[in-house]
Amino acid sequence: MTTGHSSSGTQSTFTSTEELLLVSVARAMYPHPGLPDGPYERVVALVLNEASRTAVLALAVRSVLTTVSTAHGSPGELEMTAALEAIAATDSFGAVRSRLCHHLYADREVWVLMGYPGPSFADGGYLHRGFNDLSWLPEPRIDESGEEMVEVVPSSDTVETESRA
Amino acid sequence: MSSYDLDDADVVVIIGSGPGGSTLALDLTRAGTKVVLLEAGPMITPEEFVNDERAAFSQLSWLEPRTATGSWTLARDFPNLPAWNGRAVGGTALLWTGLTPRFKAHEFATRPTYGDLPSASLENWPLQLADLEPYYDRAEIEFGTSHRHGRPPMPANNNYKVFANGAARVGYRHYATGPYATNTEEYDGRPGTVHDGFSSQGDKSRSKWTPLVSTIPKALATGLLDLRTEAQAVHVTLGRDGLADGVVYADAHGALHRQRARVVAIAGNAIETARLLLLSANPSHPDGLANSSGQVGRNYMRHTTGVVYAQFSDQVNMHRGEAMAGIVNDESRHDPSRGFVGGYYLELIAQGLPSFTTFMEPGGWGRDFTSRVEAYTRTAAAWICGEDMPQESNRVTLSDTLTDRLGLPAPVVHYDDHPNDLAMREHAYRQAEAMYRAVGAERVFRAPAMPSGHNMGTARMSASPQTGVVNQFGQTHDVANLFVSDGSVFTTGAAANPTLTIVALVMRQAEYLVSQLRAGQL
Repeated sequence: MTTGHSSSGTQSTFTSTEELLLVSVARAMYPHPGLPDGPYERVVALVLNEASRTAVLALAVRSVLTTVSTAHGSPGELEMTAALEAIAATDSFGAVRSRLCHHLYADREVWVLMGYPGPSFADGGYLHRGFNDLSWLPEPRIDESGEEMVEVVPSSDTVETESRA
Repeated sequence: MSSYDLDDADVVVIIGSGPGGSTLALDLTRAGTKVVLLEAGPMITPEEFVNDERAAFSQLSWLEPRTATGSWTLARDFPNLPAWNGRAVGGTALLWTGLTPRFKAHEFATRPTYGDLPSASLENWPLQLADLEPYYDRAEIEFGTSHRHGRPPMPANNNYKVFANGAARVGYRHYATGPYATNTEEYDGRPGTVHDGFSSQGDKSRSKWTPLVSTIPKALATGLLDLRTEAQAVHVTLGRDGLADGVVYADAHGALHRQRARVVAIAGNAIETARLLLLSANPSHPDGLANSSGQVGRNYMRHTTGVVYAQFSDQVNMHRGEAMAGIVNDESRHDPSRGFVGGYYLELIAQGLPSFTTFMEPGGWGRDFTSRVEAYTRTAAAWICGEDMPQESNRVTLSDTLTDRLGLPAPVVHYDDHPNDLAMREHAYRQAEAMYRAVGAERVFRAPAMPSGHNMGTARMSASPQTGVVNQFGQTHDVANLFVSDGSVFTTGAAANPTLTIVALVMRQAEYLVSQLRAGQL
């Protein structure tokens, strides 16, 4: 994964203004009010790094940025969301969205905000750390029922057919 | 470990080290037979497994090119990943969760039970439940399945508490935390689970049954197994007598080798097994090896599936504990008054945040999506696993355009949902939603199918050579010393998770194979 494989030309190179715009796109696509800019910036850096090696993704990013950019600079969230909705069915949108989503929800800071702790084996799993600590419902049965289960319920059609036969 | 010469024509070559291939390897080596086991992927030890869904996916999955076509949602959502298979010693069992229901008697005889459905290729199995029962017992004992043969039940985790209370409140009776092929306490030299929530990432603790920690070490201990990793079979060769006489495989560098063989058994999971048979076409088998019936690759089944998520005001923390240790059996009956034939299970499912955000709404974004992400720790989930109808047009073929790293045609997996599948799925979604509403869910939502873990039917069993690929022992009708030893042989898919039945069928196959070898028939 070195830059030696970079596609040539300016298609895959993005300015800092474009990078900032993509951060706004990321936030509009996956808005989490409690999340600071850091994770969105990291995710955009990862996506642009991928785009520097994948011409198709670079074109997709450029296409999305072109759609959402305005003559007056960065659009607001509502304006941005409307612009994204207008292109949501395009391949470019799909490619950019997919990579943003992929990286955003692999980010440790995002995990912490959502309450997902990630690895647990090194801490002994949850055997003594609450795998069964839910107490707002009664303890359910864990054994199988001793009742017989009817496995085949004859259909009324079949019965009728058989009686005619 | 033994090492046999490439020219040793006395070995049985088994392709694939998952549940099917490794079980055959164990039973044959214990009976004194020399076995070469070819595994396309590497040996990865439990210590190397990682508690990270993304990293584990890259580490363990079969990621060679594939294409999904058809009207199923996977062709839209995951067009390059129709199925989720393992590619390492232990095969797809590294990713499995461990529910082991048995097939029901009528699921071996669907044609008379379900009647004729337009476009469904229902056939009866050439064996009955009673034929398989002793092997089901053996397989459950090998797995150490909970609730069976004296093994204790899995304890209830948080996700199960929500699931089971919901089941009880809508009137279901047949729910439990298993049968589940993971130890709750030490068994067969493996420890009890620590409920780390990463059993589908290989399982670092070795509490889950997989070939890697059970059958493979046992087979190696016989001294008769030659396990070759990063060895991908690409062609089964035939001798002048029309019998299989060897397997050509590619090593890690793509160099080809040919191992001679007395018997060949293919256990590559339903997509790769069909692909290998098609790739092994030759002048006497122009449409693919053992394909005089034209059924190789056809009748591909993957179960009718979907996920229902439920959001609560209180914490659930589904990521803690065994992902699938919960099952409701009530809807697994055949009851056409529901508007469809066959049945389905509702099964517990838990996902970490990366998987949750990938699967709960493929392609999803915006405030509605993120509001569900923010409720992650207050979310419970259930998975639908139902019998899908076999259809001849649902099939694995070789791509005209896409190739793998070796330059061989990639598999194309075509699947259209049958109207019966759609009716069943709708019923199942509603029932699961009702369960969760009954315990106070603030919001329920549905997700479509994930890449298929259950792959079946592409080399179906049949009594007649005209209607299927293999007989009741998985022996191909066309080539007497060529066997299929995985879920490809399923005539129909039943509602049950397939691994237990795959292993039971292979145990029965192994007995037959050993008796044939001893009688000089092979």
